[in-house]
Amino acid sequence: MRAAADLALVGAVGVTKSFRRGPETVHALRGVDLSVGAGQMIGIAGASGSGKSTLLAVLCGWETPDAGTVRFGDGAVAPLDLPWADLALVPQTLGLLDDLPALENVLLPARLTGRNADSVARATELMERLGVGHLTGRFSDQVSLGEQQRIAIARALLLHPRLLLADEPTAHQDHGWGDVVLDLLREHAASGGACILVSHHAQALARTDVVLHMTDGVLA
Amino acid sequence: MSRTHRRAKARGGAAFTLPWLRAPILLIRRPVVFAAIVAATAILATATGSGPLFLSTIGTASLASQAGQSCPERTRPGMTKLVPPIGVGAVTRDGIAAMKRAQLPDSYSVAVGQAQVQSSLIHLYARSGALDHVTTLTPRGRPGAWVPDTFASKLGVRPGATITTSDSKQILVAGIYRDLAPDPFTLPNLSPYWCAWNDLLVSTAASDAAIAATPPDQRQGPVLLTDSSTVSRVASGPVRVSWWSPMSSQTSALGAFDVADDRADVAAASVGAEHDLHLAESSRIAHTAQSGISGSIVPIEVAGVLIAGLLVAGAGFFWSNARRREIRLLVARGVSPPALAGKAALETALPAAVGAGLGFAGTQYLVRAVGPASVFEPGAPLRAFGLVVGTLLLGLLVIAVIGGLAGRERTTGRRASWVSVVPWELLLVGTAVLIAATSLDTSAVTIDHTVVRISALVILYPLLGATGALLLLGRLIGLLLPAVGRSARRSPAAAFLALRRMSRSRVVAIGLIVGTALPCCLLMYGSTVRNTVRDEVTQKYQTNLGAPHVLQVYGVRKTILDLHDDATQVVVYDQDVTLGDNPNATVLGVDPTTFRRFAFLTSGQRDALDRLRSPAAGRTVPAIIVNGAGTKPTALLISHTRFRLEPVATSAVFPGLRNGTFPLVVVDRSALADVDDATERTNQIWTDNKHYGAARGLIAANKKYSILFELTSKIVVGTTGLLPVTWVFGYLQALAILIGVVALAGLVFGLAARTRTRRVSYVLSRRMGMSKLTHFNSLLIELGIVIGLGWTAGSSLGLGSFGFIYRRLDVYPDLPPGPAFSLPTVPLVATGVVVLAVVVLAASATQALAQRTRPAEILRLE
Repeated sequence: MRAAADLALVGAVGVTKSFRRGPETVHALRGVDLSVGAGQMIGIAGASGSGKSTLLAVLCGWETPDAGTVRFGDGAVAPLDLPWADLALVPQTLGLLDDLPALENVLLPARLTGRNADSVARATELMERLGVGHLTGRFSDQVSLGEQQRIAIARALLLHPRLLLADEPTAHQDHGWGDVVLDLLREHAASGGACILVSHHAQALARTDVVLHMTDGVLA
Repeated sequence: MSRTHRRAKARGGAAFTLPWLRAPILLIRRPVVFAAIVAATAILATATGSGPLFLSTIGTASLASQAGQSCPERTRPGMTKLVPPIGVGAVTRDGIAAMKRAQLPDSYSVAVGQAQVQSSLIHLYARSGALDHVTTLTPRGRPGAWVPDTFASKLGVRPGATITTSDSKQILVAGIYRDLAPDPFTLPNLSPYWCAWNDLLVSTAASDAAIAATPPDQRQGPVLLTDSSTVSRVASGPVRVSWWSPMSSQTSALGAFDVADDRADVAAASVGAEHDLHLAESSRIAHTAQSGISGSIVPIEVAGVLIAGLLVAGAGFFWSNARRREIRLLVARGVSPPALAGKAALETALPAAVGAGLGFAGTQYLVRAVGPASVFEPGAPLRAFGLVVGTLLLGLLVIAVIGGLAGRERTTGRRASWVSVVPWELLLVGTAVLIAATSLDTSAVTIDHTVVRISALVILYPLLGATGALLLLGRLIGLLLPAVGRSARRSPAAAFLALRRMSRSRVVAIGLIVGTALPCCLLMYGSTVRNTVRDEVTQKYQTNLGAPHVLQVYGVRKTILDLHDDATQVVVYDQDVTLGDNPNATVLGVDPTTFRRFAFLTSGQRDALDRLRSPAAGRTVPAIIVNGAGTKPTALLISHTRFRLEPVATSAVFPGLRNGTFPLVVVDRSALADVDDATERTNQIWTDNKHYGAARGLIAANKKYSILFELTSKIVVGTTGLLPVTWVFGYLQALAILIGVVALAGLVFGLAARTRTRRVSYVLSRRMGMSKLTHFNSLLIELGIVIGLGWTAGSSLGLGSFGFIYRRLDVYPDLPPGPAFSLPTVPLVATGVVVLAVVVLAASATQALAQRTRPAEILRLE
């Protein structure tokens, strides 16, 4: 969905990003405009290598665009400095801490910001909803990949982030758990949070408000 | 068919493409794995090769030490013959020829004859190059004999003059040189070149005491430096001709000396000379030192090889980890474990051989550079090479086994087998305790013909006990860590992350603790043993000698000398002295004011000294009772004079206590004024290095007194070689440092590997609010706890092990004081600083590595 960037929770205008790969220049993003408002759930589809992950990295602040701007809210805080409560992430690599049991992994954003005690109930509830409530004491190498992904989603949702970036959040889920995950993401949007969901799954994309297609760095 | 394959076939068929031909070079494309295997096998080769090389230098080092302590010529193969003067030239030439025939080329000869000049017996000394070892006082160039200045002055002769012997033979004076008679009269003051000729330079030079007891005008048998023809012409009796082969322990090993000594024996027999037995005696001592040490070195070396073997096993795991995808694929295609083992061995053979070669070369260099001596016995490098090859093959076998096991399926949730539950390390601890208990009554060090021998048990028991105790500690920590992890919930973020990492990575945490503790333990143990033996000998020496210089003075009687604050006078009564009912006491009469300035005193002994004072007439005598346990210390009888003592202090030891069996009474010297004049007493002048010259000058200036002799450390503690203690425990310390380096390398590689695998977690944790400081602090806490715990446990265990045996480390049980446990402050602080630095540096490096992660990369699957 395109809208005026200044009304959006997050807005990207004319974002261009290219990389050198040997003698070749890869144009990952070509003048991308994107605006996501609170309560919206945006789906991004596209072939592998089309620039989806680069777009998420630019929105996170992990990549600096060659041209164009990315603003979050009123622009007072750069995307890189946004706390987990403003911008949470579910990467494909999940990034669970091997040393922590599932519950502690979910609670980690709260612990690192001093809100641990307040968040235990929410963490437990999220884990129950996602079907991993019985795994609170398990470590990541003691649960399946799908369960790990649901733990990562619980962790992303713990602090009610204003924007959630989810990269293939249903990639390791069966049909039933995929629906549960998407239900939660929809509820998150419904409660005022925004969500950008990158996926190849039609089932997932069907649950979003708008689906944008990324082709050779162009978002349409 | 690929181009490579076609090319290979063209060269010689399919054989060139077979896996066993490609495998050995495959790792070249994996430089990190290649380097890890090179490093591990290099350390294995170092640990293996160092033992035989180190041992082969011991004998030579002992020989060198003896030559350094006494005289190089005492360790050279040689022979001696007494010949009539007329035959000196021919016999000398025959002797040189005989030495050459016996394969002792470049031998040299010394001819010494005597003659009488006026009232003096003179020595005629003919040796090529002798003039280069004296200070000539007149120009060179004239023929004839060189005369010492004291004798030239006595005769009133100058160069060109003639000296006539009592049997009317003429000696032309070629020049004057400075007299070689040592001043002060102590044999060590002689130059090594002349040390075999003490008896010429000091006519009665059996000892310093004998020198001092010889009247000065008879003390020097003037040595005239001349040529063999003059000796032949002038000597009035038989001439002593000696031949030596100029061997040096810097270039020849002990074995070569033994061979050369046998040859000198053959040469001596061929010309009817006497074989010089000095080298044989020195060699016997050297062999004793070598055999005494080998028993101690072997367990250390075995421990080193085992530890290096663990490192090789670690390198094997590193290889299997690097090849894990390929191994899974091969297993899936039905490749058997033996085939995987073969693959592992073939792939790692090249870097292992490179590492072994580097390690072997490095060991030779290291042992030569920092070992006891720089030359090896001829067969030692070959023996070391054989051992290195053997352990290399064993190392490859270990890697092969690990490679073969890498294909095993891992089942999760499997119960631990009983093998892993039983605390096998208790066996090590139990064995160590058994050894310690059975050897409680035996001395840890013994002296065998002046060489200190260290009981191998003293090495074996701490190695076994420390390893077992540390493994047991590791097991206990392993059991406690889960609880530690659970208890971290209420901790601040940094501590929470650190404790959780520790509890989850139990193997890593235990490995780090034990890896730190073991080298600290061995280092502390080795350092403490070395320091204690050294301190013990120093304290014995200081106690027994009393002061840096103790001069026994003759002619003083009961006079109190005016020593101008350059020394203190001590009166010793050690004959006919009874303390209580002990008839073997010694009395030391001191001037407390000056005594405290020159004696080796501890602060406690100084306090005791302060309580000594001159008694009023008829009152009791304040006294310090030393080594007087079991004695009633109130009645003192010196010859016929009785004293009532008032013990003001008791002490186990005190400067001047020369025998640990009998008591010593220290009193104010003035209290002894009433002792019968006829009573045997000794007057000693105690001084320090700074005032030594002035004190001697004062005594020399007064013609009534003369120095009878000087007490030296050699007289007190003898010439026992303590070097074996230094060598053995130096080797143990080297092993400890090797383990420390291995542990450090393991720590760095481990942290780097862990950080690489956790970069996604790190980036996301940062996003979740973890500050860089929190992450750094968590690393500091984690490393601080495990490495700090390792340091504490290792150091405590090292010191505790030493605490069991230190009382048995008495090198000279008859001399007080006995060995004392002294905390090795320097090694303790040094290892503490190193540990602290390692913690900070490792945490910083890990932090830096984590921060190098590009966050955007984590969005892409690997």
